This record gives sequence, C-alpha cells and structure tokens, in this order.
Amino acid sequence: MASINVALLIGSKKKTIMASIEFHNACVDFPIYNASARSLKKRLIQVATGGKLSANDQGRVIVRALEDLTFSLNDGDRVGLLGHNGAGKSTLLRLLSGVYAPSAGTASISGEVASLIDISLGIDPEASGRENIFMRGILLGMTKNDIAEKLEEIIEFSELGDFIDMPVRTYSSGMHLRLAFAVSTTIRPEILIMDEWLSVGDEGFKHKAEARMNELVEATSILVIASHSRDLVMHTCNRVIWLEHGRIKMDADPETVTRAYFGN
Amino acid sequence: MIEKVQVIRQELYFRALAHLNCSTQALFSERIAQACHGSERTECARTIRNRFRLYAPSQQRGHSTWSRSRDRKKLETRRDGKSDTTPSYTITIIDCFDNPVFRMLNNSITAAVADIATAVKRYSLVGMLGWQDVRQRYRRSAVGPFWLTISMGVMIGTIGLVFGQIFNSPMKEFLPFLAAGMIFWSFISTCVLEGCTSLIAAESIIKQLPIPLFVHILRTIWRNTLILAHNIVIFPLVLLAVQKPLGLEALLSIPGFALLALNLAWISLILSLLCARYRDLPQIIASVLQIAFYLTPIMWLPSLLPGRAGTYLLDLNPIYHLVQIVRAPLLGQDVSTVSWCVAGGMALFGWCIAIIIYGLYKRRIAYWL
Repeated sequence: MASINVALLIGSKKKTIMASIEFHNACVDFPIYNASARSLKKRLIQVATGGKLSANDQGRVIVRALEDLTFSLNDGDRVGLLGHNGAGKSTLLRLLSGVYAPSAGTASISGEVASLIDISLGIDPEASGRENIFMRGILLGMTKNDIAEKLEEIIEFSELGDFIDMPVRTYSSGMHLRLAFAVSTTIRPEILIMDEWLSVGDEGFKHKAEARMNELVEATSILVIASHSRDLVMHTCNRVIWLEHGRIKMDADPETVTRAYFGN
Repeated sequence: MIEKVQVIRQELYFRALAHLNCSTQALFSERIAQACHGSERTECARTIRNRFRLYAPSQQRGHSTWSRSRDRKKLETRRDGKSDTTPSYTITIIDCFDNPVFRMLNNSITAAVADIATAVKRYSLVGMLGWQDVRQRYRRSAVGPFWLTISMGVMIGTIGLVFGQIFNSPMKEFLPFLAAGMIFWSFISTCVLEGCTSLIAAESIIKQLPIPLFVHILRTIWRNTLILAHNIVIFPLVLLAVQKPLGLEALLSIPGFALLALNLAWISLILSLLCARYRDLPQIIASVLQIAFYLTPIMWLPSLLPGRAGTYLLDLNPIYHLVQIVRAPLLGQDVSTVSWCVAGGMALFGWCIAIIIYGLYKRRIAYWL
C-alpha cells in the first residue's frame, strides 16, 4: 500500500485533484421490455382501455442486477471485483464508468474515468492503423494533439512497422489486439475501470505489455478490476469486493476475501 | 415545533431528492416519530401533510412495484411491532415551487445542458465519427457518396421533365426550385430518420464509454451535412443548364441553414430518445415524412396553389418555413419574415421541450438500449 502510494506520487501528474467514488444504496434495475411491451401501440391501447395489462406493474419484468451497494473508494484504492458469472460485476463496472445511472440510490464519482472493458471498440476495419489510432484515441477522450504527440511511440510499441498504413482488416487478430492495446494504454485517467487484466500478444510482447499495464495502473488514482484470477487479485489489489447476486457479500483485504471465495 | 418541522422539511427535501426513484420516504414518518413526542407528533405530521402532500401507503403511486412493496413491508412491520398511534405517512410527490419536483426539474435541466455543452465541446469526436461514416462510403468505391449525388441528379432530372410538362411550368423557374427543394428535403428527411436510430445505432459505444449522448445526435447531423455538401454540387449545374444567375442574396441561406440544423438537432434529440424506448416509432416517422414530402411544395410550385389551399399548405406548414429559409435565398427570392419567425420560434420552443425531456430521461437511455 505504502509503496503504491509513493509510486502514485511520482508517477501521476494529476495528484492535485483527488479522485473518489461514493456509492450510497445504489441499485440497478433492468426493465425487460419484451417485443410487444416495447411497442407504442400497446402503450396507447393500454392508456385507452384505462387499465394496466397485468396487476404487477404494467406487466413489466424488472431484473435487479445490483442491490443496495454502499461503499466508497479513495485515492490509492486498487479494487478487485470477485464473483461468479451473473453476480453483477460487469454491471457494477458500467455503473462506475458512468454509463448507467443508478435506478435508485446515489453514485457520485469524481475524477476522470476511463473504461477499458472492450479495447477494440471503435476500431474501423476498413481504416488504416494510423487512422484507427486517432479514432480510438479521440473516443477515449484524448485530443488530436495528444495523439499526434504520442503517435510515434504507439506505433513503435505495437511493433506493426509498415503495416500501420494498411487497413486493419488485413491484420491478424494478434496484430489487431496489439494496436488496440497500444492506443488504449496511452491514456492516463484518474479512475481506471477494467474487465480482467489486459494481456495480448506472444511471449515477447506479453512482457512489454505487462510493463506498460503496470505503468498505467501506477499512474491512476483508483483502479477497479473485475477478475476471476486469484493471483491477479492478490498481486494487483489492496481491496477486494465480492459480489453475489448483486449484493456485496464481502468487502475486505485481498487475503481474507480470496480465502473465503476460492477456499484456502 | 415549527423549528422541528423546518428541520424535518429540510431533511425531507434532501432525501426525497436523493431517493426520488427509490421511494424510501417511509423514513420520514420514522423521523417525525423520533423528533416529536405525544400530541406534538400528530401535530407535526399534520403540518407537514398540509404543506407537502403526504399520502397514506395505499394511495401511493408513481413508483416501481419493488420499492412500493418494500416500503409497505417496512410500514407494516412498524405497525405490527409497536402500538404506535402515529399514522405512517409516506411522501410521494410534493408540490409547489420550492420542492423536490421543481428541484428535480431544475437538476435535470442542468444535467441536460451540461451534457449538451460537453458534447459540443467534444466537437473533434463528433467530427471524427461523422467523417468516418462518410469515409466508409468512399472505401473501395470509385465515387463513394457521390453515388447518392448521381442518383439524386437523375431523379431531379426525371421529375423535372415529367412534372414540368404536367404542371406546364417554365423550366427556368421549375428546375432550380425542384433541385434546391429535393437536395434540402433529402437532408431534412435523412437527418430525422437517422436521428431516430442514432442512439440505437450507437448502442455499443453508449454501453462502454461515458460519452455525452448528444454526441451521437450531432454525429448524425454532421454526417448528413457532409453528404449535403456532396449533393449541393447539383444545384450550380442546374443553374448553368437553365442559364439562371446566382445572386449575392444566396448567402442568406447560410444563416438559414444554421437555423434549420438547430431545429433538426432538437427534433432528432427527442425522436432518438423516444425511438430508443419504442422501437416501432421509426416506421411511423418514415410514413409521416413521406406525407410531409407531398404536402410541402418541393415537387410542385407554391404559385400553382389556389388561394385558400395556400394558407393551409404553406403558412400553417412548419416544414415549408424550414425549407423556405434555405431554399428561397438560393433561388433569388426574399424569405418572408413569417418564415424566419416560425423557424426561430420552433427552434426556441423545441429546444426548451427537448432539454426538459432529455434531462428527465437521460439517465434511463442506457437501460433502454
């Protein structure tokens, strides 16, 4: 913890602004509109006949994905999210990144958030690698000048060489990921949201990628990462939240939670 | 007593604001019970009830079933547990100006304006996405978006010949009128139609990145503006063909276009929101646009209308005014003050409505997709 904080002080230039996340009884309910309930006609008929179609809330099915989450994250927190499939990890990540607003309760997030859930988002296969660097970068909130400054570094890191001016559809899937990874890891947000640790490429590239990821993580104030890996959580995080059925089952240090979650 | 009411009232504001969707207002009756004792308690509850509409749980409305049943459970356990004579009130929606609803409206307007402002500030993102859309049409195609221009040119030529003969209109007048009308109509209708699906189409981005949603609306308008820039090429060619000069007053269509785009932005914003929720709306809009196309003088000259019909189809048709502010200057005609006023008024009024609706439902959009 102490070492991370020291690293933060050195690594991050945005230390003046404190990032924080405060959740208070936040819930996420997904209304499930089946094909018919989604049509306007049905809604109009419903109004015209003056009654609800069914007794239980306009016949709408609501899935409660997250329920009464109360926690706060502060500078220096590296939080791991554990939980089985469907426990609400991805929904929580989206709530943290500001994509969803809680349907009940409050979630206040202060600080610049970046979400690296799908690093290939916004990559146009018909455009060249160079164009895609700009597109992906702007989508992540960088300015054109920022990107132009880092362009050479990104190209060099991705080791794509002359392929950078070829359309991305000619790339192999590994090259595609390298490009996406190289751009996505140039951002320096205050709050970083990730779904699993990003790891791309062959053996040689993996080490480079690992180092770059560490650098990125050190530069951020708050990291939230969903994972299924015990090692990752033990190495990267200093706090672990275990979600089960949309609720927090345990919120403590990695040691305690992983022991309870993975068993010994 | 009054101070206590004041204090509770303050808390009430705060909580009602924070939990407006969640309806944990049962807390307030508890709070009243804590703060006051004996007869004061009923007094206090009454005062609050008089000032803010309090409903008994059975009358409560406007909240989702889940929270309703949870509140009810809470209230029931309270009733069973204690021989408490205090009536358990829950607060639903509280009226007057100085109240949560007003504040919520205020908050949502602030949120909407903030979102729109950030979207405008991220114009480089809008520009890039719009360009990318257009460029995708160029790729591996020799003429790219000019295909649209070519097909539009052919259509203008055909309609011009046929209808020019039917209406017996002079080509020198009819062809430029038709060309300008068709070019701007195609801009308007694609803006509205694509505006309907702009949020649905951007689902993957919306669910991944916290980008202001208005960016996607602006992207649609920008993309269509770029395509308009391709199509407008036809107009000088038509002028050349019929030997009609282009005056300086044509420059007036630039502010006219800005006003048109401003109007299209709010229309797209409202429609995109509604279409994200009700998925068969785009089809309805498409039919409505088709009707509007025939009702608006684009294929026929307004001068051909007999007197009375003109009032209905021209003056009362807002689309006519929107078309007129960009088309008339290009044809060397004066734009009537009425057209400017209608277009300006629509922009102002429409934006007010759009901001309110957008603010109220912005939070829900990601859930609808």
